[in-house]
Order: sequence, then C-alpha cells, then structure tokens
Amino acid sequence: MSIQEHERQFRQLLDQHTGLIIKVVRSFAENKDDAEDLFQEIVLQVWLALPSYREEAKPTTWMYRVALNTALVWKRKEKRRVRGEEAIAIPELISDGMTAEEKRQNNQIIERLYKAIRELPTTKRALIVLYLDGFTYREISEVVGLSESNVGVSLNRIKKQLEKLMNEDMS
Amino acid sequence: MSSIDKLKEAWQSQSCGSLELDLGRMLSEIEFQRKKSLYSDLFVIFTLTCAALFFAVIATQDILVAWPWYIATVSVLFVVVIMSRRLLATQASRGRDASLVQHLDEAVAEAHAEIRRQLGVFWWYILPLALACMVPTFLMYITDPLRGGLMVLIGFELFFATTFLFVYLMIRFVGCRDREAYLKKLLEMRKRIEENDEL
Repeated sequence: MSIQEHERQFRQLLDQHTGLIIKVVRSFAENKDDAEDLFQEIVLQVWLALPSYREEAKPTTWMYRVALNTALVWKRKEKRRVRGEEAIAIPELISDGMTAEEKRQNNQIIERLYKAIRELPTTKRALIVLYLDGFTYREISEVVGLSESNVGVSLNRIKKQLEKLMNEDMS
Repeated sequence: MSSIDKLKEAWQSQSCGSLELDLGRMLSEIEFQRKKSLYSDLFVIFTLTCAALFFAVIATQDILVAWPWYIATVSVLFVVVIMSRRLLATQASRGRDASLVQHLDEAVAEAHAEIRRQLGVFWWYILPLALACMVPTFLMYITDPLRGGLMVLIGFELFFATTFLFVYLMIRFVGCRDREAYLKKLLEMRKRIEENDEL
C-alpha cells in the first residue's frame, strides 16, 4: 500500500467512524486528560493497524476491534504527550433531529449511561458498547472472540446490571 | 419499549461531524518517538564502544601492568553486542485488529516478556559493566600497589558497587513496579474471562 493510499484510507475510516472512537473513549476514560490520551492512542493504533486491514472485513467491526483492543490494554500515562498534544481535538457528539428539550433530556440519559458504563468492569464495557451500537450477538462474538452463547449469557447479566446502575443514579 | 431499548436508542442518536485531524503532525510525532528511541540506543552503543576501545588502548600501552583493562574491554563489548542484538531484533507487533481475547493474551505475553527483559538487565548489562569497572581496578592494585593505598582501592570499589547497585535497584523496583501492576491488571481480566465471571 502506497503512503498516499494509506493516508486516504485512514482519513476515510476516521471520517466515517469518529463517533465510534468517541463512544469507546467516553466509555473507558475517567477524565478529560485520559480521554484525550486514549483518543490519540486509538487513532495511532488505527494508523498502525491499517496495513493489515482487509476490504472483506466490515469497517465498523474492524474499527471497533482496534478501538476496544486499545482501550482494554491501554496504560494511563504518568506524563502526557507534549509534542502531539494539539494534533487531535476530540469533537463533541451531538444528537440530531430533536427539539431543544428532547436534546437536553437525551443528553442527560447519555451522560448517565456513560457514567454507568464506566462503573462496569472493562471487559463488560466492551460488550455493552457493541450491544448498544446495534451489533448482533454473532457480530459481538466475532469482535471479542467468545462463543455466541457466552456473549448472550454475559449480555443478559450486563443489561440487568446496567439498568440497576441507571436506576440507582436516577434515585 | 423496554428501558434497555430506550438506552440503545439514545446511544445511537449520538453523531458527530468529521474529525479535525492534523495528520502531518501526528505522523511526525510517531516518527519523532521512533527516532528518539533509536538514537538514544545508538548513542549508548557508540559511547560504550568508545569506552571499550579506550580500555583496549590503555591495556595495549603497557600490557604487563595494564592487562586487566582487557577484562574491562571484553565486558563492555559484551554489553555492546547484547544491546546491538536487541536493537536489530524485529519486534513482533501485537495483533491490533485481533479479537479482544486474543489481543489480551498477546498483551499478557508482551508484558511478561518486558518484565523478563527488565529483570535480565542485571545479568546482561549491570553485572558486565560493574565487572568492567571493579575487576581491573582491583587487579591493577594487585599488579601495581604503588598507584594507591588500600583505602583508595576500597573507596573506588565501594563507589562502583554502590552506583551499580543503586541503578539495579531503581530498575528492579521502580521500573518493574508499573509493569507488574499492569500485568496484574491484564491477568485479572484474563482470569475473569476464563472463569466466565466478568463477561
């Protein structure tokens, strides 16, 4: 793959999946500094993993694999990057096509949801993020490398746990 | 609609515009980090090679008296060879797009290898360099005691021993601590998956 082709594919993938990366970052990072660091790390890993990307793989599944793998084994850095710090600015996620009131309520739910997800153990976070994004059990099992039945059983437990956490937060 | 479906709907309603990414800057950062690591290793190898040559020259000038410096030369060259081999060895890259479980296994193996490398620092780097300093100093004193009193010898040896011990302890207990904590975290994750507890 030529460097121009590498760059073109990279930009295309990022343009289409920035939201996905932000969702993973917000589900794993506890604060703004960590979020920026993890975001940069995921973008870097996408760049490095791109030569091994095969067109037959679904881009969203591939991006989720790279992003979740990075988030799962990510080490918090004592000293954050200095040189590349301003290379990437994390954009805000917005909810389209809603009235101002609907947006406010929706944002509240999303904020609580992220908070609840971050209270789950890391591997559970990976499963629920994929589930919430509409992945089927089969697709989730491909990303995590567990059997479909195992994913199903685990997700049932996680959903209950998540609902409990959300209810606790509301009360 | 169940509450989890509502959450799903809210989650999927999130969207964002394109990412403002300074690709050139990011790539230069990657290149900078790679070069920094390479040049620092090359600098150490170059310095040690110069030191080995210097010891060899000293030893050659008065071989009957200064022969212990050959021991220093060999010890330092040993470290140079080990460092060069490590530098040339191509590191297998972790499967960034492998499945989560596979990726975790690879991360565990990598963390184990890193800790082993860190623990091997004593045998491969610290001990040869300590010998390079301490043995010739001692043998030079035996061969030619007039160069300094016993107290001077003990002073030098203690200085070398303390310095190298300090470096080793720093690497062992400060350098390894973070890695061991990280490995522990990974192993806990892996164990939970195995026991079908967490997932």
